Amino acid sequence: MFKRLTAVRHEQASSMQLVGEEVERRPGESLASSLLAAGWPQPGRSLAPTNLAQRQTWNYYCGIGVCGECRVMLPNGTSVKACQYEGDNQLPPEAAEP
Amino acid sequence: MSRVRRESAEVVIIGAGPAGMSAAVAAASAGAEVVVIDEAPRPGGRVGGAPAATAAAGAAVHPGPYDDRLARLTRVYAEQPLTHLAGTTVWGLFDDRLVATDHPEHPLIEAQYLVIASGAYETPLAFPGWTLPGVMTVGGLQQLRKRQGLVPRGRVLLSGTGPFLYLAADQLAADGVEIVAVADSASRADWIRWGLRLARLPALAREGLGYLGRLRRRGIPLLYRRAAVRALGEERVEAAVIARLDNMYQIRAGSELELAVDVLAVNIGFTPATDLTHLAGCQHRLDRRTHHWLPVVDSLQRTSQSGIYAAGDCGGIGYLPKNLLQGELAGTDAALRLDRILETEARERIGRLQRQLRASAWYGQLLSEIYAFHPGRTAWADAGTVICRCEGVTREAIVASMEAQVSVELDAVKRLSRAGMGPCQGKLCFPTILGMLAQELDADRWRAQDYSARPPLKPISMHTLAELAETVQAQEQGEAA
Repeated sequence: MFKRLTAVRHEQASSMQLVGEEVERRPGESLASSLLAAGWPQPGRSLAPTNLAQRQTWNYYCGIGVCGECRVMLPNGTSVKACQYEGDNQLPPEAAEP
Repeated sequence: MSRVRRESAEVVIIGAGPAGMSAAVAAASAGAEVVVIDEAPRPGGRVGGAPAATAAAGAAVHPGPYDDRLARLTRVYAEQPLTHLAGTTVWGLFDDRLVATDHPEHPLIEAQYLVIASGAYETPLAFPGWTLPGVMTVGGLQQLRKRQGLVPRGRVLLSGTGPFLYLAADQLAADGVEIVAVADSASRADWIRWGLRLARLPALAREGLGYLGRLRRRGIPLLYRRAAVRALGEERVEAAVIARLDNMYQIRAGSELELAVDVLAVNIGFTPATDLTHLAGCQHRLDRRTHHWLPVVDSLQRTSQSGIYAAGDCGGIGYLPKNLLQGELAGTDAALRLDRILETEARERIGRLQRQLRASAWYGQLLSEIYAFHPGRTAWADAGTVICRCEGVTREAIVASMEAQVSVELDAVKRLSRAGMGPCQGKLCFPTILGMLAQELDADRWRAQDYSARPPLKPISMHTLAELAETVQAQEQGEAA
């Protein structure tokens, strides 16, 4: 549904593991952008352990941290709004859940 | 809560958009101790990325009339001796202006003065299919383009009204996006009327004419008095139904036309984010034209709660200059009350800011007409349309909860239907429900509608709560020893 205007330079690209999927990242990019560029939303597929009605599918709606439909569970167990998250992997260890 | 040893600051500002940054600069440059809390990874607010960031993202840069002022403010803000907590969410406000955040090192901050500058978000518009992937806000599209250099592939339809719609269409088209049409619910006559009033602000008028000229040259159809009233598709949006509207914004029977699209982006205006002013217990009024709650403020931006200010779009939708003035006013008044600024100097500055603010009020008026609430739009949703996206509450369920009440109230709709109880805390459904209530109630009873905001205002992890409990416990033990 979305494409990047500039190609990712190899030395700048990184990747992130999310529920068994490799997602390509580039510096300063929000996680929501990385996911959209990687072909998300995908029908019926969620990236967060929520089971609220209508939220089974990871989705991008508002882009400013209001709707919460882009919520993602990070490898360290914290849940973030992907549109507001630019980290490349884990949160600092002190913020991570045991 | 009262026994927690609190971190404190003279001025706490929530939100680092134009108003928040402006308040912070006014207070910090006077020597006040300032803490700014902001959800985003970096200051600047939701207005948009800095031109440099946009260029770096590979997107076309379109200089706006207020870019320079915003860039200057961002620079001055970065030089201030203040504490900026990025990526931090305020989830509670307790007595004595105690601010609860999800920041691991700053969970509780007591503010001597609190400036709420929480901004605005795009007004949601519920219609059949609006929860399908591929249907999103125009701002959501712009964020991706400007900050991340990400643009939609395929056919994009923009629907709604107002200057932002055309700005986005123009900029997306410049980045090579295929805009199949811009469907505007306003009429050509509306735009001529509004445009004439913009003659007072030639820079903005030129800007608007620029969008129109370029869109026409690109051959993008501009459809007036029309709107995308339905999104169709199985797993994502595949088509949109565009209909002609009457003067009440009701769908003209037989005018529907199906158009294949890959992305449908909608903007019908902006809604002040009043969750924090509501949580703080500030008095609000419901504006009849826009259906916005507005915190009641005096000429110094003070709310009805002692020591709490509201500045910027959270107090009413305006434009950048107005938000800067309000922020500076709040920050200056706080500095004066803290004795950090000479009274004569403060009075002189406050007087000037108030005069400029009064002189700019007409633009807010104009925006409130462009983005006025139109009752006809509430009928686009059908019985099965989800109104509350978080909890999946349909229009039918909300109607049933209204019928079940003796005295119809928003709070009761919330309790009975669960609408507004999810992670967004009503931001995406209350505007629609207020519109539905307006059809049912007389003006007085509608005006009395309010809601009770309760912490946590935004989803927070159990970890944050557990850590807070540990802090409280450790301190209580310390005090007991």
